[in-house]
Amino acid sequence: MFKFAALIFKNLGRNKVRTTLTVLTIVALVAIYSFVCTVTDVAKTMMTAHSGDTRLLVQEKWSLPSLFPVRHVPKIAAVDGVVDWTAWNAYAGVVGEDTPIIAGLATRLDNFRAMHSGLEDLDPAILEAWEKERTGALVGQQIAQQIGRKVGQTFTVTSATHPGKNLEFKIIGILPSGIWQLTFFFRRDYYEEATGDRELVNAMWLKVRDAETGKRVAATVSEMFEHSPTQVKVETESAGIARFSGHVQTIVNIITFVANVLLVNMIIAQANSISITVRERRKEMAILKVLGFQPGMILALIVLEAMLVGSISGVAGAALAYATSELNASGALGGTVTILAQFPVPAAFIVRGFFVGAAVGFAASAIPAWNVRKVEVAEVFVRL
Amino acid sequence: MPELIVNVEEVTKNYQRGAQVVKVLRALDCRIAAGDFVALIGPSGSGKSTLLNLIAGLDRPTAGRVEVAGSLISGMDEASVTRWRTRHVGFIFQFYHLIPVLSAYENVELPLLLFRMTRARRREQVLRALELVGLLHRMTHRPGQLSGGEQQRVGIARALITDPELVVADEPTGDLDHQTSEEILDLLQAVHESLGKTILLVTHDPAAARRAERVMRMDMGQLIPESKAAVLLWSEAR
Amino acid sequence: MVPVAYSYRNLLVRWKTTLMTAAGFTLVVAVLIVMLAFTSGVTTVCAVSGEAENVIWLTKGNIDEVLSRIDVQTARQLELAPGVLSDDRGRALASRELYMMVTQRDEKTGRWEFMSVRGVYENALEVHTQVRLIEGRMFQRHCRELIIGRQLARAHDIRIGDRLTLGRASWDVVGICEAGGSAFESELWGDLDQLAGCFHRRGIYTAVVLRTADAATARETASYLDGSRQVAVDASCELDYYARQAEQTDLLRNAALVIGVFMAIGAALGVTNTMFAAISARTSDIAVLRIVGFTKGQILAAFLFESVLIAAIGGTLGSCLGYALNGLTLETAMGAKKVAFAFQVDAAVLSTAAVFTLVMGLLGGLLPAVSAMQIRPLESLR
Repeated sequence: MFKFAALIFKNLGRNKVRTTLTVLTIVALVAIYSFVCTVTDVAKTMMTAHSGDTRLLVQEKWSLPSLFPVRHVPKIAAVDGVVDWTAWNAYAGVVGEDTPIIAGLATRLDNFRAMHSGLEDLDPAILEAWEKERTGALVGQQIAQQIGRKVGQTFTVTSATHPGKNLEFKIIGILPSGIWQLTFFFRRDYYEEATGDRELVNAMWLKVRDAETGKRVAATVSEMFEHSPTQVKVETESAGIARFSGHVQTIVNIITFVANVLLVNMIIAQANSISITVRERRKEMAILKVLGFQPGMILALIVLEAMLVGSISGVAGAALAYATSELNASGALGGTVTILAQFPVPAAFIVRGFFVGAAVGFAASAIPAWNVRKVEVAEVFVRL
Repeated sequence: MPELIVNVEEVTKNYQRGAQVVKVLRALDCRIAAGDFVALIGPSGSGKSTLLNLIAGLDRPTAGRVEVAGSLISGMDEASVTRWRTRHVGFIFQFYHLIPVLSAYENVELPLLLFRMTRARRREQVLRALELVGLLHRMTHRPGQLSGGEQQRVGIARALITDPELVVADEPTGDLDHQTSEEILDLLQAVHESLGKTILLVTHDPAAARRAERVMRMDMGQLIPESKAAVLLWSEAR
Repeated sequence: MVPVAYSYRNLLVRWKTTLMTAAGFTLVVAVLIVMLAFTSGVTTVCAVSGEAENVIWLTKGNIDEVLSRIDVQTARQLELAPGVLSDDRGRALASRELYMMVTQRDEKTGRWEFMSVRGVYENALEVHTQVRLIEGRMFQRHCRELIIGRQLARAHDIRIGDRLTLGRASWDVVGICEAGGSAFESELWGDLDQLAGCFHRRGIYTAVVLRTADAATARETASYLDGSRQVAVDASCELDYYARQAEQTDLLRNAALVIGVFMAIGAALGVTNTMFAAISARTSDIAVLRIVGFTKGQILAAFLFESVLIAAIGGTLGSCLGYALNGLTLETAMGAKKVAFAFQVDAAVLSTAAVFTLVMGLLGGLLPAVSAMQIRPLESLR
């Protein structure tokens, strides 16, 4: 088919207006599709159990917000199979009068990178700074923007969760784009000292060697506190998230529905364009047949043309989405759109855009191309 | 002196083709009296279409005056000329150019929609026009359901519906077989004789040109009045 | 005016193309309606939740009662606020409440779900007058009994006499209540002390709700303790509190509009494509109309009408599809809460969708209509 590549490319240029309009339509739809899919992809990734799930979440078994005694922590950490652990205490409040409530997590410093998803590659210099600064806080990009502070500056939180215990923090680093946009981390020791809360903890994370060990550890820990006043629940990271996501299932379903509708929309839009084109080119199809083109070849020409348009548009649309996402993250759009920052479109989506576009082109051209195979030479020549 | 329906004086028309200026009409004079049946012949590129455009008010001369049905149309703005054209000029085309999705009745009625008229009044006129061209029995049919000759009849009815002073027929038989052409030409002649319409017939067809009372020949942007005999000689020589 | 028949019959003749182009609008409208009906439904739940006479106190800075922590001393102080009504025994009509999200295993599906549970005392119904028992009775003090909101009961098929496991204990469902479609219909209510004991939350409340005579008094009461350094609590009129919960759907509404705009651009470009093709196939029609005497403006209007008609066809189909969802009840997260809501395809939702459709139909058809207008008549016919 490559010898016909010139013909295919030339056909694209025959009606530049139509080709441009079709391309723009698909670019627009693929761009928004990229954003929507990023949300569903993140949700799916978080919700799917990984066979190598080696992180366990320990929480109070029955209620939210989870609270269990801090004396449980060393017992849990000592369970055979637990390779590493950290604990979280939630601390939330407002900065000044106008900012929305921001959520902080007090945690261990020494194994911070290892124990937090997506932060394994955090700059070691930041951790060094954190070690030196007791009130240090690692702040999500969105929070930094909301409170209007940069690295090196301080902020004071009027606490909503610990009434009367208003803590001051110094920003020692900004967290990368992703799920931690609306969180800030600070040191456990500072939390305990400043709030006086040495009794309770909200959650614990455990690292285990492998999934099998994880199951064993989970069972051991649950059983350990079976008859304790405070029961705990241990589950893998993805199971925990899946349980939470059941909470937002309706929204996830709506977003998935939207993503599917967008695909259908693209196919119909391109199918429309191709049908019009094919109708206009009936005479040419007849002439190609007279010249010796087999029906299958004529079909292939149309399908390839559609896939070419689709894939170019798909790449452009995905690239547009990626570029917008990056500009948003860097603040170049004049303010940051939260949901975009929380679900950044990855560069890899550009490749996916290519395949989505090509698949759309294929699906859109299937029926019109199949119909045009049946063009009767005689019928068209009479009109000529 | 008979009343002039068309009075074209010293008209020049030039077109810009890139850097070049193409002179299509050169100081052309043309007069058509009321009630005339005139055939306009000439080779391709002689300027027939251009002259037709000017007389119909579809274009403006580079220089000169164009007066049709008592109005100086070369001095009018586009909106005024459009309004004027509906009332004073009827068109018949080689390829009929009926609106495919409208019935014969609706195609004929089309120009009347631009007038303030009751539906009943419109209906009366349309039926009369269709009767004149012998197509009352086909009035609900769409162009796709009519033969070439029938479509041209509808075209003629449409051209006459606003009772224009001038009827311009641009190759009306160009797409028809011999017999049907004769029928259409008969009809045009009847329209001329019974309704006293002024007809300007642009044609390549000598048989059609023969039906006219007067023949004008165009060549290289100029009009050359010729006798009928000369026309016949010309056509036989081709 | 160019006859309307000219426009719609052309759409009929090319019905496949018309439908495919219209489908773009159908999809925009359907998606918009689904998303907007969702936010409208959730907003409605919030709008009918709360009473103008009630004032809700939470720990300072909290917008949601889940994280709020009010101790007994502070609660006592709040009950002394001016304007608070008294019951017939002279006690302040103040409802101390403990709100939690509790994990519960649905016996029927086997899935673990979060349920909204509110610990209250018997005077809660006198403070929350919109909550009424419609079946069974109120739970008894010091007993492990629950009353359940109508929506929650329906969603999980829970009836009076059912036994639910909350935490380690079993609780009997003794009553079903309705609350005007508000968030309370998605909750379980039980004895506060029993719940606090079960979930290790003794001595704390998440909220204190005070009943006053009217909205004006409520506002005054809310400003009691404003600026106090001794207690760190915030008050809102209950209606305002729930209205703020609805603001959380703003994100989804904005996302819906952004998605709608992109899809509408796609649909508009689709109509542009179709109309350009239609016009190029109908240049002789347009030329004839011009020669016969129709003005450029009338030609423009005819083709704009045609593109708007395509949009309207698609939009109407989409509205019908979207409307099929009206009244469908589901549960969703609202902040930390889980509420039942009904998709609400109301006039506002439908008119937003209609405006989108018509504007994009017009914009999409504009360029082609302008090009139709520019057709030079006699040249097109030759």
